Amino acid sequence: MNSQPGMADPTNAVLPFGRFERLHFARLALLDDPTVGDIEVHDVPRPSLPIYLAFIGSCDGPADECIEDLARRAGTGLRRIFAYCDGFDAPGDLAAWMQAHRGRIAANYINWVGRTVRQIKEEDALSRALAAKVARAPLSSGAQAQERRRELVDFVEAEVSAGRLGLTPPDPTPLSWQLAKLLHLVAIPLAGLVLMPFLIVLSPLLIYLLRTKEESDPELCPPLDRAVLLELQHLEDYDVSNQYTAIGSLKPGLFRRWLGSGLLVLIDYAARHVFTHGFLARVQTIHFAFWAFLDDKRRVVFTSNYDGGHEAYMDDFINKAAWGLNLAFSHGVGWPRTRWLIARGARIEHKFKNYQRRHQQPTELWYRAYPGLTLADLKRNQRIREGLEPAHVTDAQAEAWLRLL
Amino acid sequence: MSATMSGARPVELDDVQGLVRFGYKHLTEACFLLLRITDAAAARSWLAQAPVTSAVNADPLPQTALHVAFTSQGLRALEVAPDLCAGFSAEFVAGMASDGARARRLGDIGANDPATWRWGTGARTPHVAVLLYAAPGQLEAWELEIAAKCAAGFELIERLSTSVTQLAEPFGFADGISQPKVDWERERPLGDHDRLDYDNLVCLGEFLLGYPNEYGLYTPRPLLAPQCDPGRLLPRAEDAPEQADVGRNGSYLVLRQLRQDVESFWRELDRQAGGDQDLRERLAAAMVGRKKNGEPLAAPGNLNDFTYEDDPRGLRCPVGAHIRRSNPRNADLPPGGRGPPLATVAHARIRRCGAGSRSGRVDTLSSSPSPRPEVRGCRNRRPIRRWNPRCGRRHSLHVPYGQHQAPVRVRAKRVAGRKQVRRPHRRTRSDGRPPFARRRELSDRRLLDSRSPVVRTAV
Repeated sequence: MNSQPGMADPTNAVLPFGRFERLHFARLALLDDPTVGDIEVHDVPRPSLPIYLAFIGSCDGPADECIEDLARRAGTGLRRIFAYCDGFDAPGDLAAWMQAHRGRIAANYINWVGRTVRQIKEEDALSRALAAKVARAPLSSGAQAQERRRELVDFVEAEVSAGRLGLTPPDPTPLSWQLAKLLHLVAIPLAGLVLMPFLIVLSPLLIYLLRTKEESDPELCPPLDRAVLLELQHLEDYDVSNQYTAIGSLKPGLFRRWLGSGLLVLIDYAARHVFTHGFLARVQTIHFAFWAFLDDKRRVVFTSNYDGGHEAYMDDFINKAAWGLNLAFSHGVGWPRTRWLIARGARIEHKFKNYQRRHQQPTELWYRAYPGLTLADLKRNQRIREGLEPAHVTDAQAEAWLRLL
Repeated sequence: MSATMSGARPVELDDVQGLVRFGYKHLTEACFLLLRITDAAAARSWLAQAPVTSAVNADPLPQTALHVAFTSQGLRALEVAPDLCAGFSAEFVAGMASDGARARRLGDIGANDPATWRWGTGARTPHVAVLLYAAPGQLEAWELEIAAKCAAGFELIERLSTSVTQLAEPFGFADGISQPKVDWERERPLGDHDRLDYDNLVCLGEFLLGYPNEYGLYTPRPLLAPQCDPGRLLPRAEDAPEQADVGRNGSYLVLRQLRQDVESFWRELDRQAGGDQDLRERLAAAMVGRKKNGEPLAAPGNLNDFTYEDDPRGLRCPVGAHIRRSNPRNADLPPGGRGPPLATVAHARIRRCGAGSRSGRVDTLSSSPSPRPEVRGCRNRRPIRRWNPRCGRRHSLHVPYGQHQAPVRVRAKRVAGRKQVRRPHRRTRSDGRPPFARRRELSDRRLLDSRSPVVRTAV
């Protein structure tokens, strides 16, 4: 199914990802957690937990529809893959089986909410066409910029009507989705308000618990064996973007379980209502990322799709959002020691880097709908398209728009 | 953690190789000998008494200097304990041509595949690099003397000679303008806090092992139990006072031999400019971010004290320009100042220390999001770097030729000799004639790689 190590061939016969025009990213990874035994450092016996085959996708619109669509158009291939899973009902209803085995996402981040695969592809074609067309000679005046822009707008109109370019208007956001978002926007703070008195009353105890645990929870960040690291790196750096899949156990006890879940609710809230347009905190290179609990919240799986190299991705997080990493991951067994939930932890560079590599799982198959395009490209293409729309622009705007090309 | 380190242990300058601290401007002649060990005992005995130049101020200035660097294979050849070797950074231990993933990260693919290198792979991997510097006219004697002394234990696999070209790099641009200032006095406040202003002072730990870096952390390096060093030959680790610090005062040296295709650089610019001399110079300056005389486009008239703050779109200095990519100063923020330029601090950190003590530096430089133009949305993706086939577009003007990482270091007293250290890319020219010699005939000018003055390049 792969054309290069770990890189899915979009036209492969088993699962032709490229035919699913709403699919941004997809991956298949075997979650065979080598760190299950880590929990023994907390004097908890090594649990026996299943090995999962994870099929993960990021799609436009409701996931239900995407699953239906996959089952309908790639059923044979999916059945072949899932046949390796325990209890797979080969002749049964594939979509229903997938739904039944669908994991619940605890927190979900999307770089640009509402930007569809179709829009991305159309805007890329548009930007390429315009870049090839635009005259490169220096501009002598604002009027000339206007004129040049006018020509290009006409060119695009002609191309669109000739069917060589497409600029499909975005589908309206479904009302139900908007309502759900509004409800979520209000419900979480309300729940917080209700809980607040209890939290305030309990705060001395909670703070005491947090600090004692932070001081005593053991760290477990040995460097990864070179052969294992090479295996992971073997799957990286074939495109401008890369993937990351990791799994780890939560520290034992109710305190970490509740704190971890609560913080993921908040992260999800922030990702849904605050970080919706290009930034996750200050990090601008994540396409999609999510956290999900497994095995009754005993383990967490995290995946992301990011631009650039792995080392740089981690450096970016350490430098810009180590506090966020600590909030999200410090409940994992062995995380570098934090202080007050946000300080230290991931800032201890080498321990953090060892930790994250150690928990990483090889992503055996990874598909992306728009290879070669980074988030910066997507944003620029988007601005190019937006710049076509207004009938009248100022000279400066026309010039700025031409500069994008 | 955030107190100033005025009370910190002073740096043991006599245990640091002089090259970390000095640029040897007066020692205009230099050559680098890449050696393989043929007799470990003989090699050790030469290393034990090799006249390595230290970082202590000398008066009068020395007329010659010698520095030594080891590869991890070299350490193994010297029979250094394997667990000790493994304590160095993974990149050093593995070597630069270690695997395909690293080759992809570094762009060593296609025509630049390690298999095509002159040296640096297989039996052509050096064990030891001996760097010789001398005042005008004195190199030959100095080299003969050293070569005679180390003949017993070593075999020469490559001699890299250097040439001086008036402080300009081979494309003709002034070089060596922006330099890090190393905090030798250990005055920089330590600790894990963000610094918003761009300046050149940088923590010692970014260059020397065994000292805190800009995160206020000591980076991993081999530490030995005290019973392994009963004679206390090694300094004790600052962060683990009972243990002997094998790394302290050492650093990593990266040695990559690159070819700069000067001819094709200017030919392409001539083509783009359609023969217009002025336009050709302006295009070249836009690619580099500085004019040939070193004047930065972002701040005309101001050689080095500037940032890109008021040029966020790259109207004066293109975002993909060499100096902007290599050192964004503090301009990787979205306009509007949303929060501190942390990434910049980190990047400055990386850049200033091409050969610092943190692992993966070379790799990071090649792949970190801020300097990578494709991640920053440049259409013209690597204007002045090597071709990156992953991007599928060729903008190749800077092609690695034969290369090798000699992150160096090691230790010393136990093994022999002294510590060593070194700074990044000093460009070298191979003495083996073919490509360079031919090119020299083809082009009358400064084609050949220069000895860049002190630290890296003018970023």
